[in-house]
Amino acid sequence: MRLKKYIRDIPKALIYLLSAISVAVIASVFLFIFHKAYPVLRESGVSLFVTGGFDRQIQEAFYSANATPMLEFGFLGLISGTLLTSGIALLFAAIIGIGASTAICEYAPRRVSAALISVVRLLASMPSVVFGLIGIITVVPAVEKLFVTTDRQIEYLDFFQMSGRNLLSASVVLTFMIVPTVVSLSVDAIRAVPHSHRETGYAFGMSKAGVIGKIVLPVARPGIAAGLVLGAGRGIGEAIAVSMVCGGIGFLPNASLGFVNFLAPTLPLAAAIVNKSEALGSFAVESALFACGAVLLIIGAVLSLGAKAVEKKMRRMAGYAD
Amino acid sequence: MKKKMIALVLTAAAVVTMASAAFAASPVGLVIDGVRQNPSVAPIVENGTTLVPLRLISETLGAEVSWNQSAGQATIQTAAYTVVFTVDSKSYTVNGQGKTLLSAPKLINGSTMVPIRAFAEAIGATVNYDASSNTATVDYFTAMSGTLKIDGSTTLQPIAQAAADKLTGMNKGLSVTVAGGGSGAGIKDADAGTVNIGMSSRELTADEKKTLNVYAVANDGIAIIVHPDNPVKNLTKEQAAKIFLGETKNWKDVGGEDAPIMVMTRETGSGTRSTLEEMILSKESVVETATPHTSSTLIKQAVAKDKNAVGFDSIGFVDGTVKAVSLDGKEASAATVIDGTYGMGRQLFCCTKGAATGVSAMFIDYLRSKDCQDNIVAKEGYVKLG
Repeated sequence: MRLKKYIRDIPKALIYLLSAISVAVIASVFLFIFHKAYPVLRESGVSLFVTGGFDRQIQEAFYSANATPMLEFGFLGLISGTLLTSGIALLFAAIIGIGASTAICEYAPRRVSAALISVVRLLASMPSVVFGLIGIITVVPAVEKLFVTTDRQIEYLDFFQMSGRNLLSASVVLTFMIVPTVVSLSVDAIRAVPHSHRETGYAFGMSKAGVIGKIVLPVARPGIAAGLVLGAGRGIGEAIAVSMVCGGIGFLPNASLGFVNFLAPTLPLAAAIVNKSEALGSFAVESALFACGAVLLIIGAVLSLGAKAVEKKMRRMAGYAD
Repeated sequence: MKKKMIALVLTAAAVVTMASAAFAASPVGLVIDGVRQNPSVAPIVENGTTLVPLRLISETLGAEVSWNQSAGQATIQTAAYTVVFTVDSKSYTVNGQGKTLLSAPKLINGSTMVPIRAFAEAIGATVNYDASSNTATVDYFTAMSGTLKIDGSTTLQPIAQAAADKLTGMNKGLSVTVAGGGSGAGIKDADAGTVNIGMSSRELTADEKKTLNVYAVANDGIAIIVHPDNPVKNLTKEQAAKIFLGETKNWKDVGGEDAPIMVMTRETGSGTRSTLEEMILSKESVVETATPHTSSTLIKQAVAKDKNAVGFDSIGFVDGTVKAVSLDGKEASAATVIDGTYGMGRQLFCCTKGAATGVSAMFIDYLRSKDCQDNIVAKEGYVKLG
């Protein structure tokens, strides 16, 4: 009898053990990153978040001796690069993604929508380097052709070298990557809206557009928001695809330049880790790149907590009980 | 008269036979790594020991020879071993350990002849003698096995890859992976032990040399490259420095068209970039606005695509898609690097944690061998070791 009880408890114990292991692994990843980043975090302090100059600093750090490392960094250019590329991409992706998922669920014939959904899910699982290649082959030349002229290049040469690799291209490529995620989660959310809701709307004499805008989308909002949060996560953490099209310089947007800032090179945190890894041999550079990782983790954590808070508020406003 | 004639002929014949008895009695053949060698001074056999010209085996096996004229000593260095022979002395040393030869090395027609078996075995090669064909066979680069991991400088990558392809073709049990990553990564990985050999296109720092052994494997020059349509043909060192420091911003200031200069650079950590900064920018950094690229190939492509671009690359990477400008009137070529007139010549290195051993040492020896220098280094557009 007692033996039977033990046997019955084995799976439970196993599950606890496995969960404990995964928690421990995640915790040790955090510890390792912050341990490696500590020298730079300690030396730079708050200025890490409010000053720029990363490109020059990494060069100085690379040449500094290991005995007297250069550990004072300013990541503002990188942080703004991360937030700008992801923010712009998220905006584009929200517009395109919500529109596309509405079209797929509400307007497209059943067969077409089934086909489109499988294509979207395929896109969502495409390796990011493929998006990077597409960016180099199509987006970069297109942006160059549309916006980059010799006159502009000369005009802004003191600030940056204008080319097709810039904030705009990086944002567009990121949009390509985020849209499938947003669409596939939004489609699920829209489909989950009970049919009776729609019929109630029609019964009140609402048009189809009215039903979608006033009933379906608001009800599906938490699901759509989840898609956007996931998309933002992907955007912030994306390294390879962005590093291929971003221009590789942590240029700090300059208010006096206005919209030209979109044509300036940028360097988000994750892309910085990829691009500067060539200089990893130096202790100071290594610590700086781990600090990039640490800041990424912080941004990610802040965003996901923020998203949770927003979601809670939205649910309250929509009248759901907690 | 007749008698005299006969005497003369006889003496001559005797001399010839004696001479050929001394030398021709042992026309020993020599095969190294499957290739029959034809040295200018034929190998000889003395007291059962085969003596071969030192230059031949050192070049073939990738060893470096230095001479101490007064002591009559030849120091032969492979990546793993240092062998010292003394002319007319039976004692020799291997990595400082004293040993004794059966037959002393000697000078013949200005060539130092050394015992092949003692030398080959000292550096870990295998020697076989086939009596029927009277041939000595040395296997060194054909006797490699195991796995080798190499990464680092993208400048050196094509050389290492070609060498790896050749050696894995000759050795069934050998597998070699060659990756890029830049000199910084190569040095770091070699030090951390994640690769057997790191490649670097810059000199190692004193810090790095504490734990790493460095081996020069090729010479190279850094070429300043522009778009083929760019009319600028020559830059002085000063003009080049001003361009890369961002002080000169328009091509018309250096004899070109009225167009902005778009500076392309390599990422921090690139050995090519470090060397350029050291050689013409007096250790200052390339202008901050320069667009960084992560490999030798990518910077070349960027320059090939942009009419107003300027960049720099190993002369081994220069091809028809870009144009190398001359520096101070000297064309960037193997010839000007060798004679020292080109302003940005440099060496390319391999490094290993501690002294190279085993198959890593053999790989480095191969990179330095005549075969690799002639058929890979020179053919890929780099410059042979001096």
